[in-house]
Amino acid sequence: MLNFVEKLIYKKEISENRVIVGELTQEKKSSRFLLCFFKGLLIFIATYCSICGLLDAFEIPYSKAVVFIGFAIFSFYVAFLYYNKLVFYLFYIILFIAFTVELARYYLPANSGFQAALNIIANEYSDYFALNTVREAYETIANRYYTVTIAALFLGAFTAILLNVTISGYMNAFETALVTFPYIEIALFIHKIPSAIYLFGLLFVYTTVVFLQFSKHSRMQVKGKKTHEFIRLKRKNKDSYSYQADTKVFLYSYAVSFIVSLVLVILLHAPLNVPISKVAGNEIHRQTQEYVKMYIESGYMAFFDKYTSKGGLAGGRLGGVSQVRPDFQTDLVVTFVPINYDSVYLKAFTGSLYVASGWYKNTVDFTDLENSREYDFGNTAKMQVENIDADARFNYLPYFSDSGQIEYPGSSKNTYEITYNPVLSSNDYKPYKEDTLISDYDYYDYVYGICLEVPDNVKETLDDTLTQISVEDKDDINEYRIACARAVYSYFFNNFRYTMSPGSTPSKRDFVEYFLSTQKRGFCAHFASATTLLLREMGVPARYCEGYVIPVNLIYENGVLTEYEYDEWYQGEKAIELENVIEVPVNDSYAHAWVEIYLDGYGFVPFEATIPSFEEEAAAGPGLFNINWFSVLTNNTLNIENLGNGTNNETTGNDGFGINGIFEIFDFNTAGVKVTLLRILAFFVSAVILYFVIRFAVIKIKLSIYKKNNDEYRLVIYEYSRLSAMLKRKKFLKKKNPLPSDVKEAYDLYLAYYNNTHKKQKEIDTEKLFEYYERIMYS
Amino acid sequence: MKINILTLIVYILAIAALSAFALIYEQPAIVLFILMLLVLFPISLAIFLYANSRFEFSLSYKTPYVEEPNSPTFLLEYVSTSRFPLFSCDVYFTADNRFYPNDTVHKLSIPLTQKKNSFSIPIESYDIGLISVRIEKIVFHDYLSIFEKSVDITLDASVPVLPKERNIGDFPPAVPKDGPDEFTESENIGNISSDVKEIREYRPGDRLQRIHWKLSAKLDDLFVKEMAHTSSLAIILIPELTKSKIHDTAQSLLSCIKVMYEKKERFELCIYNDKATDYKFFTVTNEEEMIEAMTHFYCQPLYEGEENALDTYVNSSGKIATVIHIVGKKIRIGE
Repeated sequence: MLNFVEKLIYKKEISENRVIVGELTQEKKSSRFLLCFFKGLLIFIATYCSICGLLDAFEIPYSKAVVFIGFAIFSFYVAFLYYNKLVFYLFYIILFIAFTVELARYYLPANSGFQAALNIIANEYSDYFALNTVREAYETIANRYYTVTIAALFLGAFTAILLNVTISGYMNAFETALVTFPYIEIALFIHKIPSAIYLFGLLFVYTTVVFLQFSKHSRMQVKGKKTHEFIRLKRKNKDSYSYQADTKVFLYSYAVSFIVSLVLVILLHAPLNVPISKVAGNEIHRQTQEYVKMYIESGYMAFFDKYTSKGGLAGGRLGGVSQVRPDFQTDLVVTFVPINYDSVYLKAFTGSLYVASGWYKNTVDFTDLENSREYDFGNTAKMQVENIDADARFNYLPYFSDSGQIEYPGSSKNTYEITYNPVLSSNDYKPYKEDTLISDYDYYDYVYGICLEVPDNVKETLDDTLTQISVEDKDDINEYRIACARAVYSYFFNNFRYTMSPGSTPSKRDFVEYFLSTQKRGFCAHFASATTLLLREMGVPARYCEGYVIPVNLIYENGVLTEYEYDEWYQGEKAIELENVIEVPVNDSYAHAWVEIYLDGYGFVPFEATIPSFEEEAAAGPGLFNINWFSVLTNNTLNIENLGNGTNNETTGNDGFGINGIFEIFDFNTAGVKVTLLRILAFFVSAVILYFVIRFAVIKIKLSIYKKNNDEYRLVIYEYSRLSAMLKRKKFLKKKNPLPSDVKEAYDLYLAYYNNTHKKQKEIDTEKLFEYYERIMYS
Repeated sequence: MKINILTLIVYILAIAALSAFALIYEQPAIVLFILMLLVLFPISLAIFLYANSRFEFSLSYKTPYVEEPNSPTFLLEYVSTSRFPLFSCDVYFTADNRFYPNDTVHKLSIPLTQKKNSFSIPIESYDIGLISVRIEKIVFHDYLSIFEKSVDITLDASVPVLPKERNIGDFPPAVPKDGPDEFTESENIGNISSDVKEIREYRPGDRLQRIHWKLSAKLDDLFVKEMAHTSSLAIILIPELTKSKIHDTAQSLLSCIKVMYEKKERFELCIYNDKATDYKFFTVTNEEEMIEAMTHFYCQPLYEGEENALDTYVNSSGKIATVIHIVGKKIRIGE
């Protein structure tokens, strides 16, 4: 029998036609338990085959047994949520709380596992696309076997929850494929084929879901008071009733899908590894690959918030950039003759004064004085620089050149030529040379005063750091200075990591102090700034520079030979086979920062302070899983700063997955979880209270409207429903779908009981009341 | 057999999209999924062609009648001779109370996965009347819902919803005067029978001609002869199908009938059809005949007037008998 809410829906039919179709039932009912089980099985296969297919394709290490059992538990857990309403609401909340709390507890290994998987995948992609740089994420814990397993479990739980919606909720093949196929596609995109078993599993799931979706008998409403065996849908002139989920439909779908999938996989397994021949004019593929490369090199933020026309130079500003995100657009086109395998530095900005937020120019400009210094290494070269999209405030000049000698061959101010004296090797700095400029008092003051200045608040950190750096004694001052610079570099090389996404410096911390004491990873600006200050602290005059660097691989890969006469562009010795004038497009990923150290007689010469990116971690970026999604909940206990390298060192050995290790690896702070748990509980309690308040308000508003409109029918329905509910609550009414006569009988019993137990008597003529109710309700 | 164009287009688009994806991104593994879609199509069609004619449907009811406020329940059954099941079929049916005709079509979507199965279709009734369910069409679907076959079928079943009896007192009351004797009756009917069917005790209102004087004298009590044909003409019930009073009329009629046949009174029920201005007589001696008569009563059209049936009966020189005219709660006795 339909309940009163439904009778309200069918009010017109009741009054006009005097009949409505009641609750339809099937003789051979389907078992809800079996249906939940079948759905759980589908969710499990889809989750397992997609995630483990991905891990398998990239040969990422993880505990197969733990993941298998974990996925099975998650899948059947979520599938059985549909068993009935109580289970649904209660266990969904438990699931949410458990997931959140466990994620907070295992945030670090989970995050580290994601990063490990991403790193492995990124490296495979890098190999496939032959990329120069890879956005390599930072792994807090080195034990990949353990962290990947944890990460896979969380990812599996999340995927199972989504699949429960697409399979148990909607039974939609497209949505199911949308949730699971991207995992496999990550491997397929670079022609990495997972084992046939995973493809078979996915094929089986998709086929089964297609059958079930079109069977119309696979959806299962959460069982509650208002749900029926048949799903009812009332339309204007056609009412429809569809049997919810049929066990045998599931069984037959499983059987047909299994056979067809098995046959197909067996027949087609071999050709799966053969790439299809390229389609002519396949621009979409090329463009997609470009996007993928961007993502691999710079993370998803590469698609948003790019640098626009600043050419990648920060102009001395420090600490505000959490991640370097080049747009790979050409900033400069440089025409020159390469003379050795060293990188060519084009200086734009020189920072002499350091404050916490960055480097600034000296108040007195010594450019003209420095231009007057004579460099005679026996080599004279010409360089043409065309500024396409670089910061127009600066000129980009090679070492060693006179900025006063810039010539503009055309009408455009964007293209200029400069003659310079390149250094063939560092040996060129060896011969003693008298320093004629230092006799200038102001310049002396600049070099040995300003270029040795170190802020007081950084001094302690610098000194602490210097205790770990040992410098070889040198008699020659220039050699000593170079040795100092190399010692600092060596220290960074051994103890620090390069990353393009180190995170921004906290507002109350000094950039260099934070980098040296806490961060210990960064990009060129970090290394250059820190090296400059460390050298200054060691007594070596140094300053910070920004500009572009042209590495030798760029010369070979992108250089375009031009028709220029070689002799006009270079005269001198060479240490490279190439004897051509080349034109190199330089994009903003080659924007760089380095250090200049003062060598007596030679002035400020460039020194590469940034460690290479190919060691351990190249260029990390906040990829999708690198963001601390739960930072609000976990920042008291689980930040990297507090755990530091200690945790890392303890877990460096990959000795397999041990279940006890899960609890031992972290010094877990339960207070943090308690706070998290309390917040979640508070949220739910507030939500429940809010729900009842809103419900009460809505009922009151509706009643007032009914009273205003004199809608006797709805008022009676409301009164009657309340009375029925009260009698059911007090156990006087036990029938599931009582008739008014049953309610009346129960009400009589209640009144008799009430009048026996209370002094104040209730005198109600139930005969008349129910006559009135029936007349209005069935009118 | 029809093709569901929209589903077919979606299916083809899915294959096209996957093919484009596989070609553009040079991924042979996707071919696996494309082939699956291509293979499913003929498999689904083949099973559908084989199975769709191998199902037989029937419609019945749980109880031949119900008493208000209960509602009737109908049973839709199918028997399959197919080796392969069909996942879905749509049964189109209408359900109404004959007094309040309704053409709303209801679509019942059921799986055909068992060898034999039945579905209960309860029709909640809010008035007395004849509740009918008619199945007019069954549409079978293939596994992918691309093909469908519509089968026109006529299955119907009806169940009368009877009103609750009410107390109508001592019924039937005494007939005000003696009715016509056997000879008069025989003149009217043209049929005479002297066969005595049974002898019973005298009741006030019995005709004097029927008293079995010999037996009465012997046993010192009055006994009456019940003749085979003539006695049934004594009382005729004429209910009016007045729209506004139909529930009370049905209730009164049913109460009269029950009381009378339980007392083994001979009577006939004259049920009037206002559209055809004709009437039909029913003799009720047991429950089956009562259901038949009430079912016929429920099938007649309703009207506004309160004496249509009586007037038509009187004017058409009907049987000479004691007429009990029923309108709403009023039960009038006349000639």
